[in-house]
Amino acid sequence: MTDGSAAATSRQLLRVDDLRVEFDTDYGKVCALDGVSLAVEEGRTLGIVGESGCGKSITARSIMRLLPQNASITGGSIHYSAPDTAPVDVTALKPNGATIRQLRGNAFAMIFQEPMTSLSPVYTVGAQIMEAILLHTDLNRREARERAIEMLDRVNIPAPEKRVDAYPHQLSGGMRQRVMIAMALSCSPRLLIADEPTTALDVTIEAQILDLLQQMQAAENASLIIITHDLGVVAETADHVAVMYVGRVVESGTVQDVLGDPQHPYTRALLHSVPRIGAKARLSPVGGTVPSLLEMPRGCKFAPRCSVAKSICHSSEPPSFALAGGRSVKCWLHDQGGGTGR
Amino acid sequence: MLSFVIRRLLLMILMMIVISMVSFVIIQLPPGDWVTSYAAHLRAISSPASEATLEALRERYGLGEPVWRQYLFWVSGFPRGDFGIAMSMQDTPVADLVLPRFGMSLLLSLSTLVVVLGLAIPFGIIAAVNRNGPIDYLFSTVAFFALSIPSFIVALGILFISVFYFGAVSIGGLYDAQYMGEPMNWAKFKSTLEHMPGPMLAIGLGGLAGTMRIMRGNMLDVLSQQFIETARAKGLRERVVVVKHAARLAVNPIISRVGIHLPEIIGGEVIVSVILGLPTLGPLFLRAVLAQDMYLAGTIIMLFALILLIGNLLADLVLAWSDPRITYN
Ligand SMILES: Nc1ncnc2c1ncn2[C@@H]1O[C@H](COP(=O)(O)OP(=O)(O)OP(=O)(O)O)[C@@H](O)[C@H]1O
Ligand SMILES: [Mg+2]
Repeated sequence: MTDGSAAATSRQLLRVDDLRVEFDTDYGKVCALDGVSLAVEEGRTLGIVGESGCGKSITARSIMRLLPQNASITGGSIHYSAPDTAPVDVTALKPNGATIRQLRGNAFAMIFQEPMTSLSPVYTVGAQIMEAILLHTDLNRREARERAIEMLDRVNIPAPEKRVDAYPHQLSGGMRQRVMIAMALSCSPRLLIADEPTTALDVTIEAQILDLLQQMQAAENASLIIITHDLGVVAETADHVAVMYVGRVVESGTVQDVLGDPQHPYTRALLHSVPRIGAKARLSPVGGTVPSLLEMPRGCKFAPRCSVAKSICHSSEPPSFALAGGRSVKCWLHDQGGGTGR
Repeated sequence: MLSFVIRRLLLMILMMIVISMVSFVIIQLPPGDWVTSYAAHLRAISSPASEATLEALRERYGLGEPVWRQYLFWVSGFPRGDFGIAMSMQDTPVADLVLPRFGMSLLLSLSTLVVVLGLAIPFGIIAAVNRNGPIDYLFSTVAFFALSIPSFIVALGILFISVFYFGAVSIGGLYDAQYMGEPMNWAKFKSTLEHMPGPMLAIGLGGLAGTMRIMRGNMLDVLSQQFIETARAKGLRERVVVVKHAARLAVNPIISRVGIHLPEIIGGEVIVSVILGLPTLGPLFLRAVLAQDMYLAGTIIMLFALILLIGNLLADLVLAWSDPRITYN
């Protein structure tokens, strides 16, 4: 993806460049991410959308360096630069080393899809929130508990001074997701990653949680990456969006640009059932099936399902073409200068 | 919780009553009684007793009475701490025979349990964390052999090694011969502790291997759960994630298994003690059953049952304390 975008851009907090992640499986090496590039601006929200299995969670876990054991980052970089500290390349850090642990839960925080299982069943929610606070701040136990109660209050949990001693099984799914948000934000992270935070919740709760996320993000001036299947969620919450397809970002740009005027055939197919931006819609099935990571088509990975594919699309993979307004599209249809592809 | 404990205790008393009846009846089931086996014994040492003597003995011990009267006679002494007399042991009161050995049995079983858990849990954690690595395979292989060797073979192996390699003079026993018959004192206790590792190994080896395998499986289960990733995402050290978050939950099924594990230990203790000649309840029980010494055998069965019931209750209580999702009411 190209940088140097138009007027309204603020400082980049995180920049993923050409990230490549491989899995060691019984069938050999498979490439789950192949050249993922994206950027998150300070205080802004990036939405990542795509069908199941396209690598959204792997992208998020790469940033946190929480990849499964059989995964390895084999290329690219993830640069994090907070305003007052030297930039770090997260991919260069020792796995589970002191530096990445210092970032996790502190500069980067993450919320997961399954609120029912995201919390340990044997510790009180207060103890679990305090754990991060005690780890990353100088507060003592009493102050940390105070902070935990304050965080529970801020995520609108009623009677927080009581709930702080509740066990997760005593709370509903929505409440638990609030606890997760409270925990994630307890050390004022610069970047919050929410991996399908509302997929497991029902629609009314979903709206509340999304509201809460945005409100908390604004209050903390944190950046947010929100991962979802749901274009409606992106339209509602995000400033920028990256559309992923089998381990690649096929289109990215501002939400207005990408959802209002999609350039990639895949994005168009995703948007097909959505009559206008802002309307809520799940991804409607796109014709054909996602190729298996083991049997990738040679050219553009979307070509077999693409209604406007040309012959070049089947033979070589398109690079990302930069468009106006900081957009980029990975599609041969936008090849103006006769690029040769990678 | 208190009401739960009270209910369980009441239930336990009821169970003990049923167990006392059942065990008494089962001991009486084989044909003949203690006098029959006593007569056989006298014949074997070629000084057969006359029918009249035997009849007198039957009369004296009330063996001719219906089973329920014998039972009532036996249990009526319990409140006084009278568990009857051991006919096969010169009419020694059962309580005097059983009590010191009960202490030894308890000491041996509990220490075995503690050591088994104390080793199996960390080994299971280590195996799980190094899953499919060399350490895991090593542990699994050793555990496989340990599981397949019966405890009596281990006991015989220990005997063999201690005699032929360490030139042990007194074979078996749970303390040096000089303390035989002495009441428990510090020196005897120390000697006992020194003698315990062998029997503990024989009794606990299988359980150690089994529990380790289970702990490993539990850990793998728990480590794949979402909250482990939450813990890592907080920036905790991997060691803290493994011990404080994963093992803390993975250990719960082990706790609830202690109740199931106890009979294994007690059963193993009987066999191993017979082979190694340990002054525990096991050998005494075997002798009592062979001699059809019903009061002695019945009392020992009841003690075993009591250990099991108390052990299960304790396991349930510990589990309730350890897993907040469990509530008893
Ligand atoms: N441990 C693993 N071993 C091998 N392949 C894996 C592993 N974890 C994920 N993958 C593969 O990586 C790809 C990307 O997975 P990822 O979880 O990022 O998808 P996703 O976009 O988050 O999907 P979803 O919307 O279902 O959460 C998938 O095709 C998956 O098969
Ligand atoms: Mg996912």
